[in-house]
Amino acid sequence: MLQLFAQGFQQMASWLNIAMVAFGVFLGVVFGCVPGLNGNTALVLVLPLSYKLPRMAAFALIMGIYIGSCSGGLISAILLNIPGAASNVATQFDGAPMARKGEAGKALGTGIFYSFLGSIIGFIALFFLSGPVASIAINFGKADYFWMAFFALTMVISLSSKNLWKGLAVACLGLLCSFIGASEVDGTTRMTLGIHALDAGINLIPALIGIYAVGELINASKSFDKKVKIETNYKIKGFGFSWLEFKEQFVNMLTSGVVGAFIGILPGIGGMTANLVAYSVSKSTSKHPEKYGKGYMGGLVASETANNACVGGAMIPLFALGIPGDTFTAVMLGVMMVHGLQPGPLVMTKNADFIYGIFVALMLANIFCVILQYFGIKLFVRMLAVPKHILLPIIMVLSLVGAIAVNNRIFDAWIVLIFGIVGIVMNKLEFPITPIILGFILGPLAETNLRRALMVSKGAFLPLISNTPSIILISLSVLSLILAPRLLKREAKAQAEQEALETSNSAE
Amino acid sequence: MDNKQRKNYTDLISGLVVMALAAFFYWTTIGTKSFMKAGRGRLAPDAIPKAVAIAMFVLGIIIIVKWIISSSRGKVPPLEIVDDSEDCVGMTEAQIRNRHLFQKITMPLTLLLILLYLIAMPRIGFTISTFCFLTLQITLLSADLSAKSWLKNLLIALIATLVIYIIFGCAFGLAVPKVSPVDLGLGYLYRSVFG
Repeated sequence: MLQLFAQGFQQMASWLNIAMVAFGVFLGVVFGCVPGLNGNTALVLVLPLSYKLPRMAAFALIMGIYIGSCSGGLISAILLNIPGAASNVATQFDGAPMARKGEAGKALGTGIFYSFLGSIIGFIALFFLSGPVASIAINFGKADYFWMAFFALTMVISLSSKNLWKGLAVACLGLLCSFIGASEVDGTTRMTLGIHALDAGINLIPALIGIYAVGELINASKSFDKKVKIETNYKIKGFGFSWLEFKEQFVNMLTSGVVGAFIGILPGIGGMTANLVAYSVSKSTSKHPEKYGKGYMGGLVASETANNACVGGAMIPLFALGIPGDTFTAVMLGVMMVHGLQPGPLVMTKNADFIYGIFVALMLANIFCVILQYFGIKLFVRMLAVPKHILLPIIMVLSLVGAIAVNNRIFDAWIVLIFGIVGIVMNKLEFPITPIILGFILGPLAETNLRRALMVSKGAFLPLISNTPSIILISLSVLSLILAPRLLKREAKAQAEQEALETSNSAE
Repeated sequence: MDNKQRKNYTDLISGLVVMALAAFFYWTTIGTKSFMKAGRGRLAPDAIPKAVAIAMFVLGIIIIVKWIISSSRGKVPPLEIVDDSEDCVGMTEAQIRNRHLFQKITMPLTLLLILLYLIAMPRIGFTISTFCFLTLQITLLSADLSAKSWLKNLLIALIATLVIYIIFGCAFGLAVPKVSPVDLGLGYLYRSVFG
């Protein structure tokens, strides 16, 4: 393992790669802290660049963005009282009151420091779990693969949908879109309506850009640039908290980190759920639950540790199984394919030096993130005023360029537009978006393996559900349907309690 | 606070959209010819898509039935009307009206602009189409039609177009349509400067 790590260092050891990590972190923090923009928007923006960079540099950039965007939102959550991204909602609960009490410096220092620790916890999870998970998955048979895709889809649907039926319906839509084009088993083209550009199917990246970026552009354009009041009276000395406070928060930090990493592993939910659930767990296990929401450091620690720990967690299924859990990792999967990598358990052995290079990039991004945020906070605060009506159209153009460049054809830009309209309609009708994306990615995996498994068993269904991995995966699917609502309840509870607290505060 | 409420038809429409899409996808599978010989355990290439489309159709029905049941019991929460009076503090009546008008037209106009942009791009080339798209889209989002704002937006669009084209079209050589004299001229200029 040490040898692999050394190979990873070797992969990353070039000025270009290091510069890309730094650039990515910078971009990530900026997009994370500006409300209405987030890490996904930043990723879409650099897509055209990522195809042209060497593989390692492209992923160094992406890792930088991932880490930076998770952390950047804390700046606006604390100083603006608006979370910069959904993963910093709970940061605002205690961060903003701290700023009002004149402890903005302490809040920022705490947020930055615990983001770092959170990333480390996520990294440890990624480092120690992805290998073993991949080596289990590598022995999977065809039926097991089918059930794995089935399990991932069940999880996504049950976790991301308030209305289970709607989640199921959009997952079906994603599956159907993925079936368009030549089928993997026999090469028959289907559902193309005679359009030859569709023969190879719909490419993942244009579809994602459409569902995600176009919808975001439109949504953001609806909310005009709001005037905001920025807390400017702060100074950071050290990280603003004492050794004693660090010791007090140690258990809280560890639990929140584990909660964050665990939620990261689950497909369909990410930082936005992690920070709220960790906040709720931290509050209910704390000795001083009454202090939460009124400017208590513990709340901030829980939220910022958890959302960053999520990053490492989310990459475990991506690297070990080839299954992304959210939009960001889904786009990463697309970029991996553009660079000629076939995601799945084999990547961990066949491209081990590359994967370990990514691990090193992740650590580097983490360190840069602390340094950049700590010393650049004044600059980032100024970025909060960036005019979105100028930025969004430019992002739109770049995302279209990114789509065109995947296969060098304008056709993919049309896919962006069509999926953009789908995304807008789905959003308007309150459908969850993630099941479409996961359905789209998992469709071929599920279909191909089901068909092959049935060929092997000569049409008998019993062999498909009788070996151990399949049985475990089926049971996990059932379990996820039972347990997911509990997790969601916890998330909703944290939000509701905070709202109640805020109304009682304003009533006083 | 505005207390106007409208009846919430979201799930009824959702169900209908789901059923329509399912029917459309089922229709696209009709007439698929397989190259593979049929045999025991060999699913036809259109078998799974058909099954998923049928399942989706049924889900659409379930969504509608659930809506009918809960709305007859009065359990569907009414549609919330977004209250933006806080953001409008300090604006004149005309400004607020302008704001609401732009909020309504932004989405359809943005989609229309992207559509026109995609139609125009292969015909008039990347730079000119991008310049026009950016100018119009920035102006639309800024919701400000004064001459000063137009001038500013034209300038921003011009710089952004040039930067994007030179970096991605010329330096990275991405396959954006290079048709117009502007596209070709810039490409020539880039090559003669940077080799």
